[in-house]
Amino acid sequence: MALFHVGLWAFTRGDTATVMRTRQSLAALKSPTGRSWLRNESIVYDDMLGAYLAVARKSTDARARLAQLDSMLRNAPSLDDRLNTLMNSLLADLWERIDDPARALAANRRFHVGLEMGRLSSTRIRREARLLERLDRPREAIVAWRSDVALRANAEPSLQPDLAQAKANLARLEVKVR
Amino acid sequence: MLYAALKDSAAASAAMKPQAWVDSTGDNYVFTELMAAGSSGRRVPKAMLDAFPRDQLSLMAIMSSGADAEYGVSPNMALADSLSVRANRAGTSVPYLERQFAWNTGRPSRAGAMRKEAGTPKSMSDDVLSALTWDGDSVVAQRDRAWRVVACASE
Repeated sequence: MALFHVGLWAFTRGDTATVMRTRQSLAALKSPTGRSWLRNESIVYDDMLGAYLAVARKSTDARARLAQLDSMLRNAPSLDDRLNTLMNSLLADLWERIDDPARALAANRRFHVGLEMGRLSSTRIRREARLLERLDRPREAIVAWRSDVALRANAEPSLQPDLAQAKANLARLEVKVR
Repeated sequence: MLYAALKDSAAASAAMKPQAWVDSTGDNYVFTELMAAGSSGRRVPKAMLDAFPRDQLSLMAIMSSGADAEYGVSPNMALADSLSVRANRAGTSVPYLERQFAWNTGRPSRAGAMRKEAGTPKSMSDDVLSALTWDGDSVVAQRDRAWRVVACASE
């Protein structure tokens, strides 16, 4: 997990060399012995970092990488709920970036309600609203925007522009479905 | 589905007396009822709040504020705030959860102040998750800048 965070930390600073070194370190980790049927978590970390680089670089295999990662996250039995929630949130972001709102929405909805914790929750709800709008599902988008507006009702001044935008989106959709 | 089940269960337990809120298997009906109230926006009786395990108040505040857009329910911020205040008064506030609560409800400055109060160092994982998941203006700008840098470097 620490290596994964180092890789993401580097990515958020545009330091792809460190991301690559981190991936090499992850790949060098040995699989757990005696539990060969379980996925090694380091594989998921490595694949996620690889997917980030592929999407950012607009690689031709970016979509295939995301599809593989998506499959792994849906089927890998060893990932605990917390890790699964985090990884699916990151995957949803990547699907959204390569303009696949349907798959982004599916990944966004794979979360564990008890372990999700705060910051992922608010991000998930806003993403849900955005994606539903893009998928032309206004009634469901309205529900999501209402949740977002309620959640951020007492947001700090720095986030008031976000709140105003959410309210504007909500009002527009409510007019649309009348 | 989860919330629908909880609502059904809560309706069944609504008429129960406080002493019956924990059944023979240890299942806590108060928890169920608060979850249902949190997802539906209902007010809950003070006695029920008092009966809730104090060491779980912070977590419950988070869950009450965690709107479930998928199932068409809104967060019960009044309940979430009440639970958060109670946790602090009872001295059972869990700093990490309280910070998440502040973060979730659009109060990042409050979350930062709480981290300093708790003496928790700003960790790399906090920064990473902030940059990747937070959608505040400044972090979005930072995140987008990083994506542009990586994209340009590969061209």
